[in-house]
Amino acid sequence: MYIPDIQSCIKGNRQAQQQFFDQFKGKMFALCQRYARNREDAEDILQEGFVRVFRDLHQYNGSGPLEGWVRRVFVHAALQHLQKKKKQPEVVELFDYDAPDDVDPFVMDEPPAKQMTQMLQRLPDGFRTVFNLHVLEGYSHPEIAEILGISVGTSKSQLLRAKAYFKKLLENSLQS
Amino acid sequence: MFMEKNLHNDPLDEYVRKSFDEYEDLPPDNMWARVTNAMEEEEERKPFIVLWWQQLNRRLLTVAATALILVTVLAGRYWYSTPLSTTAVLPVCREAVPAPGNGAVDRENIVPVPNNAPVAAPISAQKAVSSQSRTPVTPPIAPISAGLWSAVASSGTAKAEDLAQVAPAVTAPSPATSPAAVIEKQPETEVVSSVFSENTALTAQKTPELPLLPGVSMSALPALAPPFPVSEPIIRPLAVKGHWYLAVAVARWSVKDHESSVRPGPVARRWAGRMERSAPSTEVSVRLGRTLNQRWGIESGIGYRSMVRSSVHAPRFRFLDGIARPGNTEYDFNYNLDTYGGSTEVILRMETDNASLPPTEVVSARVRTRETIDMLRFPLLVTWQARSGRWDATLKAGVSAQYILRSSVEISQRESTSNRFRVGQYSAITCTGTQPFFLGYQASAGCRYCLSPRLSVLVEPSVGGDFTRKTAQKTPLPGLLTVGAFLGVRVEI
Repeated sequence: MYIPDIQSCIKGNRQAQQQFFDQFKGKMFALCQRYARNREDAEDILQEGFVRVFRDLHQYNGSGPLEGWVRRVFVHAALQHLQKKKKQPEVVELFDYDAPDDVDPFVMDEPPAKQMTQMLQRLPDGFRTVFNLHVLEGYSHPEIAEILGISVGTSKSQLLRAKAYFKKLLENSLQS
Repeated sequence: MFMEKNLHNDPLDEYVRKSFDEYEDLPPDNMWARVTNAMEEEEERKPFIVLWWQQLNRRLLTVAATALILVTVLAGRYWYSTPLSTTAVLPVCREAVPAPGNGAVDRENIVPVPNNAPVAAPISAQKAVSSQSRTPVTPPIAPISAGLWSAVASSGTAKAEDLAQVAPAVTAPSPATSPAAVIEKQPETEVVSSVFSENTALTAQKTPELPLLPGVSMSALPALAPPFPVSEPIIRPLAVKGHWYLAVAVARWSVKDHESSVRPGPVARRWAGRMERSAPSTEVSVRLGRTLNQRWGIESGIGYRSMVRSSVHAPRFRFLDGIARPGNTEYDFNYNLDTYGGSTEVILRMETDNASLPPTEVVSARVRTRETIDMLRFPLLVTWQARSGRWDATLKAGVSAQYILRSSVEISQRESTSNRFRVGQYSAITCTGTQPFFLGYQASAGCRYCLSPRLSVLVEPSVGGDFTRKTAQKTPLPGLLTVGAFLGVRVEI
């Protein structure tokens, strides 16, 4: 099992940093794709995330799993990337957005996670962000509200709407 | 709370969580190269002060240290070899008592003033001292005060009242040897030099050897003098009329690039991003100036600046924008890049194995260019100065004509960011320089320390920049904002 040489990475050893990169690139790229609108944005987030990881690695105190720390850095990088794209993650009001009735079918020979990633990318930014933070990262609504600068009520309503939207996409995909 | 519990127990949540558990998706192969590039760029984005010092190489430091030592040695030699006679006559001479009748100065009554004496002592006080001095006093044998030693050592003679203070006990006066009597009996003295400053007055007189005390002659004074330094008079150039000066200065500039717009090119394309960065540059300048009066002046000269700029940009094209090469595996993509030296045409060759790609396929790359610029600068500045002791505060502002001597651009790094394309072996960048001559501005606020009436060292923090330049198509060229400091030597001619 690979044990990252954190000290060498902090010192800027490119070889150690590349090993670190190879260790986490797959999982983190999957995470980035869930937050991004498309693959190109996900690549940008991945790049920015790793730059931040290597820049701030000295702040990791070893109290928790390294992967969890790296994951948090990437989530924040993804959120900031979305904010750059649009000053604030899009908050879609309940009455503003309805789930589509016709959805393109997905190719079923792909792994379910890949399909679901594509489905997530079809969600509006606000839906996708809240869904990711709550369902996959385990943040509570007050935490999400604080991170995104929205109210707790808005966070809850965004999540409900995102789930409805996501279910619709999933059902359409399964039916086809 | 109830809602939250329900949400967490939602089977959809569980399904999604399980699906993504341990799921990985591999990024493109060039991702590590992108990460390393981004890290290098971030390192370059450090605060310019840190960058400024980091990029000072040892050779430059050696040259600067050598120059500083040389200037200090030369200035020291020049300073100590400068005669005091370059300064003006003191107003203390006005206190000489006019001779009765014709109004001429009675030179016998000129009382030499020690270094620490007030400039204008009342004449009545001098007369009182003179009358007291006729009283026989005991020659002072007691320890002599430091102030008197300073006065004696710097002026060569002493005031009667100072001598009288040395030995307040009056016993067995000897009119022939009392200090006042000695002074009154002095032959005609000749003022040879004097030094004036805001708070110091000194009259030095050429006198025969003065027997201050019985048995103590002036030649014995150095041996008796206490081992503390005697304060030197402040030496300032007194000329307030216009005069010329010459200065040599070296500056280290931190350069900040202005935002530059994207110039429309011959092909439809869009930028994914662009960043330009200039390394700190060095400038050597020779200046010639003239003071018009005590405050104002003008200055001009010539400066040589060498500068390196890098640009990282990410052009994107559609596949149909490429020009196919024989074999249909290589495609040339042309675009224009505005550099500091002017317009530059870039040809980027990309390779693909698949010639039947859809025309809308995105071709993207990341290109880093390095531009080397040598330029001459001709500033024309208005100067303002204020004096205090040896220090001058200086403000300067004006325009600067700039001429690009040489500008070369090269592609230092290129990589494909498309999955279906590779960068080809060939790429070309042709710089067609435009507008080698353009205008800028410069302002500085610094100080100058006078080592001698003619020699001074200067430190001038400065800021400069370029006025907006445009290409023939009326699109703005990149502009620079430079912040730095001149360090140099100035000689009054």
